[in-house]
Amino acid sequence: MDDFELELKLDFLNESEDLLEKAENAFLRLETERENSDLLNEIFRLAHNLKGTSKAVGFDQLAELTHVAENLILKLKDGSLKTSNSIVSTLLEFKDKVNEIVTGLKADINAKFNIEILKKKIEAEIEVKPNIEISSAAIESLKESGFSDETIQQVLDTNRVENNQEIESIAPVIKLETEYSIENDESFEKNPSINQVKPKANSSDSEESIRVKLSRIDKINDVIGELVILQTVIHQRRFEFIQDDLSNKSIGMMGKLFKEVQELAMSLRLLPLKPTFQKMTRIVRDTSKLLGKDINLSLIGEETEVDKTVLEKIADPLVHTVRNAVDHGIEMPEERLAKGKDPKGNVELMAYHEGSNLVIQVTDDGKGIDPTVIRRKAIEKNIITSNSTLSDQEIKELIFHPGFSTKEQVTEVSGRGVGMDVVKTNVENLGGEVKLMSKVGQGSTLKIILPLTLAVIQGIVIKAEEDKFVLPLSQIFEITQIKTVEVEQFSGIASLFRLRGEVLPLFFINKKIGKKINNDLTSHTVIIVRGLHYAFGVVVDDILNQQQIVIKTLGEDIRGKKGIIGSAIMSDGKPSLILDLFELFKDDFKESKGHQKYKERNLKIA
Amino acid sequence: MSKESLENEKKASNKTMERYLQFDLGNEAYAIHLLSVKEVIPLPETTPIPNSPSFYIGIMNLRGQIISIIDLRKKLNITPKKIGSEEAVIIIQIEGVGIGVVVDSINKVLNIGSTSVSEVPEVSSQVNAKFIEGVYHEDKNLTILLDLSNVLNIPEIKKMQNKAA
Repeated sequence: MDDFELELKLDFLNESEDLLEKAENAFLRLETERENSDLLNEIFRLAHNLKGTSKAVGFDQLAELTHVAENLILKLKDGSLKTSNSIVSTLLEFKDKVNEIVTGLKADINAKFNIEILKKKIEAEIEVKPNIEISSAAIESLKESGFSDETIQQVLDTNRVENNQEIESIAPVIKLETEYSIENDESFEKNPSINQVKPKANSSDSEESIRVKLSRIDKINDVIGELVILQTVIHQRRFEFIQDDLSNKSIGMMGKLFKEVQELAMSLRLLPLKPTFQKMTRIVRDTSKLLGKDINLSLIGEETEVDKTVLEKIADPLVHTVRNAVDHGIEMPEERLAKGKDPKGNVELMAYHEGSNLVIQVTDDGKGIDPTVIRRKAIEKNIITSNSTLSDQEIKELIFHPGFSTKEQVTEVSGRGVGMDVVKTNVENLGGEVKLMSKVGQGSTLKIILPLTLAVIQGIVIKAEEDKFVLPLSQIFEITQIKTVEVEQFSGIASLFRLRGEVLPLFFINKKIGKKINNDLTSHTVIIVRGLHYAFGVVVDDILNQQQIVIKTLGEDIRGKKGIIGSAIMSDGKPSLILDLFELFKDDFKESKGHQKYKERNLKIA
Repeated sequence: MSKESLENEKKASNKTMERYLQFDLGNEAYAIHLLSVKEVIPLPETTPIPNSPSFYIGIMNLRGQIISIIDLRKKLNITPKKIGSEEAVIIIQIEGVGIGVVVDSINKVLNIGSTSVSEVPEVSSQVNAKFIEGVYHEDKNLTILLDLSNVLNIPEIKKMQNKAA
């Protein structure tokens, strides 16, 4: 395969992701807007497009499968087949398969897939019902020739039953369908634009866009960042060295423009949450169907924008959370009725900005988390002891503990014991936090708080000899002064110190980074670090200030060096290293017993 | 003349177009492919990296991009020039990896024809043979053509990078 062909194929695979997202969206809408001919047209265009291009670049299997699906959509479009739940499900399955194929091809361009089963299924959908769906025009003509409505309905109904299609649900459906289509035909004549109102509003938000490599955007941000620094230098000196009014004014204006350009450039990395939220629609649909629950999902704040990297990493935790809400949160319809609730459960997904954070909130009006159940479970699983005194909130938060699953029965959907702890760790790895609010009988809310961008962190600037280093504020629990005499030395093991009755190991950051330790001081500035697994103190020479830090990646040759997250350009233009305190001192903790004890104790607190 | 020899001729004439940047390390002249050179800058302010090898000078801010600076003389075990040194940094880019190397002085751009390069170095140099691409003769002067990709261990860096990602 030559490079050109390969490039074409890769381009196609990348672009098809967009296409698939649109398709899923459209299929889901089809479930509620069965008669929307514009929607069907859109779906047909998508499928046709996919078929054409996949054939053109030489993905024959994909073209073959899409061709069959296209036939089905064509039948829906010309009205010879009516949309049913099973068709929508088949179409969604088709989308999943295409997704699987695209992902598979990305990994191996010559991969082959099993498409026969799905092909047969789609073909079956096409063939089963050709004689049931009688067009409204035909019914109209039957009416005109004197048949009563009931007779027509009867004939239609028997046809359905004979065809063995979803017997219970079909009778009311066909009635609705025929009524609707007749009405629709009339209104269409009178006001042909009626059906087009919605799709039009929809198409207006599809602003034209282009794909740009992320590395290019980062480069723009780098260069603009530098321009801003240079501009600041000139700005500060302008009255001293430049006597010309116009020049001074221009420098001032330039500053404003630079700020604007910088904001624009930063916003290039931001993407709306919408596609991620839309995926949840599908998950709620499939999960609730599987469980026999009736759930209404509302999406609020889909337009909220977030950094691309954050967006990618939040998708999985969000899937877990939403599934959990549907599976563990919302009760079965009967149970809800018995409790005097609407049998239809509600799950709400809301996103908004709060300061420099993004908040995603998943709320359900289900049964809530019962602390007594959690407590019992936790004792059973040896996570806590039976005499531990934890508040209700602390008990509830045990659901974030690895290996905790409260559902009696492990379902296909969730409850394999992984889930909530994964959500918590993923979010914390992104520098965010998870908050849980729950009331028994009323439902739960999980609040995921994330930084808007991973490129900017709050940092503490420290001095070691003459060099500056940055420590992420998120790793720092507190900063304190301890007198040198309070430090107990155990040669060969470690230095220890007491902090309000707690004994913690003490490390010297200077030793780790190859700087001299200042032994003349009577007191140390100590940074207290508390992680899930261990806590310790770190002695630093001096703390200079706290500031917003833009993280820059290091050169390829030293990227990934232990204990170094990246670097930051300080206000003097010199780079400083951003250190990871956990990584830096991880090895000093190796299998020590104190570490094990801390782990247990910490667990009982958290 | 047969087709084949015509093509050979063409290849040869293309090779005569190859350009190298010549610089000094200690008292010897070295050169690298001009195509791998992005720019040449005066010695910048650098920030050292803890626990790194002695040839690793530190990182610098090159217009918003963080770049590692390496002392090529220490890397190759060459004693730096004491008198008349005009230290400069050559920013190179090989296989997508950008690194700055410190040299004693920048001399000139050489136009080197393949005929004037001997493949096996016949001269005793202070430098490991696998780092040498060839030796270029110009009158009585010799220039060692360095294989920077090997010197800086770029394949290894790429491998580690892939692992990390």
